[in-house]
Amino acid sequence: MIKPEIIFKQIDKTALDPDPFELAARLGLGCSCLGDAVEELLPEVERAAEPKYSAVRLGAEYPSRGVTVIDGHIVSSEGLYKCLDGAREVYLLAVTLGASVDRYLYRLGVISGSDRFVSDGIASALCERAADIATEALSADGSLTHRFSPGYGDLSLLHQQWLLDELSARELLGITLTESGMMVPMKSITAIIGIKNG
Amino acid sequence: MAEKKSIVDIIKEKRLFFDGGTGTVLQGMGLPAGTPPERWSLEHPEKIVALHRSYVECGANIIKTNTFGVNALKYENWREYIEQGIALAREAIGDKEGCFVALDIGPLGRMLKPLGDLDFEDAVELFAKNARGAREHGADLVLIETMADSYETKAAVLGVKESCDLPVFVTNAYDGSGKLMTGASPEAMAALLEGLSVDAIGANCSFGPDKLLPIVSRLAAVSSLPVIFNPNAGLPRTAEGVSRYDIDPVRFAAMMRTAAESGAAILGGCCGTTPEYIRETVRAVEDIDYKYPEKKNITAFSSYTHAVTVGECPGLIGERINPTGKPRLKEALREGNISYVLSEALRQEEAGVDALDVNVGLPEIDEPVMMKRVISELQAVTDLPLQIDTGNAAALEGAMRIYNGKPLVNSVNGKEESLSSVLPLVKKYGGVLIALTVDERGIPSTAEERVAIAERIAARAAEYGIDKRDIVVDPLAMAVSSDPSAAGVTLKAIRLLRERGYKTSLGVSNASFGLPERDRINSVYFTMALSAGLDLAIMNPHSLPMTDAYRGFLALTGRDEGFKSYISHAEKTKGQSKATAQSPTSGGGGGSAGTRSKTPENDNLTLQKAIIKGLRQEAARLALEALSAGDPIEVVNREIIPALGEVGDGFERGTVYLPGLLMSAEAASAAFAEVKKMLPEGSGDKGRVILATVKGDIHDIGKNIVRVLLESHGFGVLDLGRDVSPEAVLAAARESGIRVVGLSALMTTTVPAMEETVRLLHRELPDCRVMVGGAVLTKEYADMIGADAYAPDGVSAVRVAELLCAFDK
Repeated sequence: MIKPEIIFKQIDKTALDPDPFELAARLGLGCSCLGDAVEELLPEVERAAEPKYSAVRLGAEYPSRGVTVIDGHIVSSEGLYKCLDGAREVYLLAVTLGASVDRYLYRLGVISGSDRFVSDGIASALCERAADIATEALSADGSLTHRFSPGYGDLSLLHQQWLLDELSARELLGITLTESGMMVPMKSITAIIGIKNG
Repeated sequence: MAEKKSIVDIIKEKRLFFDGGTGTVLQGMGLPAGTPPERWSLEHPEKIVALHRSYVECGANIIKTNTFGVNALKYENWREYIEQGIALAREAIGDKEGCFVALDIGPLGRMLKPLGDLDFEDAVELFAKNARGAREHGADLVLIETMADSYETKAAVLGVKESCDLPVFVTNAYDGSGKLMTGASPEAMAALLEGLSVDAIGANCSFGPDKLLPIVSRLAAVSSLPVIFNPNAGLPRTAEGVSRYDIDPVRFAAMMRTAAESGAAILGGCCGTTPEYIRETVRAVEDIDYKYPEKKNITAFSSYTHAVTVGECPGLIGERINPTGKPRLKEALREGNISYVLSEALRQEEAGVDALDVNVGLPEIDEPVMMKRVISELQAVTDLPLQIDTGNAAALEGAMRIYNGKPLVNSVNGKEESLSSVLPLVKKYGGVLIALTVDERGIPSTAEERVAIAERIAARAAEYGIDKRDIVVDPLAMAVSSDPSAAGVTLKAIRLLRERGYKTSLGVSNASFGLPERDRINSVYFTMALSAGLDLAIMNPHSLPMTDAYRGFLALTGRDEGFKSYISHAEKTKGQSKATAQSPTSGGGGGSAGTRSKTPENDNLTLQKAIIKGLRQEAARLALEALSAGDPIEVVNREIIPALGEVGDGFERGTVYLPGLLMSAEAASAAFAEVKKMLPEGSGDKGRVILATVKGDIHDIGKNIVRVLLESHGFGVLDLGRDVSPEAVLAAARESGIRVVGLSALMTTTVPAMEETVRLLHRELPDCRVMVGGAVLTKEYADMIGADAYAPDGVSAVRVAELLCAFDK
């Protein structure tokens, strides 16, 4: 069931538009030959990507230090508590590049380990960029805190399923969890963001 | 009392209506946000009955049970939910005539392998558990709905059909681009689901009726089954602080009218729709005459993304994954080297085939096990449809079962033994059957007799409920060297079969057995066969004369719009005159990636420099040059090893980055592959290592890096892939005799699986040495879990492997 409150958007992939040199720097690439690799592989990763996000705005309470209650769900995390900085409302956010990127990377692993490695880095950078675009769009409703994701600091990965359920992420984005709590598609991000003046 | 008429019969006579949304309506009745709707079946059964009743009163004929989210992964008491769900729907319907209870089955919430970690057979069993309750507690049909993955859909259909004999309806959730989340087109889903003999197919949920209307038209155009249309009430929108779906009942009903006009036979709703939406829909279509869908005479096979229709344009099936006459493939299959098979598949894909023939039959291997493994890996890396080529019934069934689509099945013939083993499998799993015109009396010498065998095969297939459209006849290309009239007989058979409405296929190159320069004659024969009406050719797509003939034929017969295909082929193969159109030198690459060869100073390039710069093709070429002038071992010691040493040192000093290291390693592997061809079999290996990412971990990048580096240093690697159970690692070590194992884990949650694997290997194979690595591991942790060695990165993994292999020797 997709809840009516959920914001769902497909992201125009041309808007991802990462600077190739910045990407090369992120991947730790030095020589011009590797720059060629990024230049050649970036369009392929972009072609495979189907970036989209879902978000939902919920109320937040702080019954005690290190404890955040979001729409009745209790999250014990000092890191999240500090990040939200007392925001009375938060956005939950899930972003993905889609299953086709996973398939592309898996296939590339057969063809070339180096291309697979570089493309994996490119895909991670594109997913971060997609999350930035989603966050920018949400910030139209108010100034936002940084994104805080399960797995950061002391925010347990066990909250991942709750986040995905709240965001109808399976239905809208195709994100599910493995038994060990990893997100599929792999190039996906979930986060909690405080609305500072919300 | 007369037995109730089945919904499968009713739908032949009139349009039916599903109910609408459940969760959104229940929330209006007080279901708290975040509470799964199925919980109310036990907590507030009266409200569920009221919900169902309200839909019946508005004209719905099919009531979905409140069991969408119920499965044994989520609920220990799933049985209770299934029983109660069916009972409540039955209570709501009462004795109202023409109303049916559909056991509602939704997705499991876990992605199947290879994208996720859920095993296909585990998924089948989870769905089967629900379906057993359907028959037991009196459902009239099963609805499998909101499936966004073709593979999970197939698992669900098999689970249901193997557990009960109720009618099965299936609806998928297509995204805004008109595909499932995992890539399947409506045509691919129609092929898959018709092959699995479901009773109705369609679309539901997603982004509203307007977005899904084209899907309805596409399904109705290709499917002979009734099409179901159960969309959402649009997308959620928030306006002035109020959240609601953006399409109201009247607008919704107008779109449903368009859907009915486009061929939808069963209409209903999903999220956001209420009884009012169904009432309006029933009203909106009441003046549209109902017509059961016509039978479509379409022969289609499919992959997890797309369907290929036979007959629209002649198609190519790549024949290279077949060990007959291919020593390197034989060696790869014996060693369990799936990477080689996958590379061959990708090379054929690059050459433009429409499907891949897959034959792994070798006397010394377990064919059913190998066939399943190869099919499973192939469908993870290519979206080409596969042709399962085996005479082993167990191998065929295993492969058809796990295949993510509707396969080509190669083959059945007129012998009773073949018919009785193959036809039941095609009926159960679906497939386009290649029918060979041979029977107990052998291959007839006349075209007419071969056609007669085809007719007999089709008649037997019909007894199993397999339609003639799912049969492609191979009238058999015979060697002209032993019978000069053989080609003429086969060509005549193609024409006769075509006149009788059969599609045809041919293993073209068989005609030239015993003759020199076979492709020269094969290409002429191929052109003649295409002119006679051949639909599918099984052939070597790397053969230039054959691909010239094919692209030329398409261009000359108006099947190549704007001559795009011919021009692309001509540009790609410009200047090539040898029979083989593609160089297979690199030993691992297919496709355009991985073949980067830009360099400004190629003229002065040495093998060492080519490796250091990571130039694969150049490294292979220069290795060949060096080998023509010198001893293979010298080439390794003087060129390859020093180059790798320089790059490895640079990596450790921080002047070379990981991608550069990998590119050099791949260039070294390409050079090493050329060296190995000059050495006696097996003598080039430094040692053999098993690699695996441990159970539960689907991140294999670290393991892949180590594989590339080990291969570049001359190790033979048996790569078991990702999410590999401890038992599978042990089995591989036992079977292969390899005693050095490398394990990788990325997440803390999967390190226990690594520990379990180490423990099992040490217990069962005490002489086995295990090295471990991965983002979350440390030396201390590696010691704690009992590993024999820890490799913090790829370069150290090579050194550790050298030590362990030396120890092993």
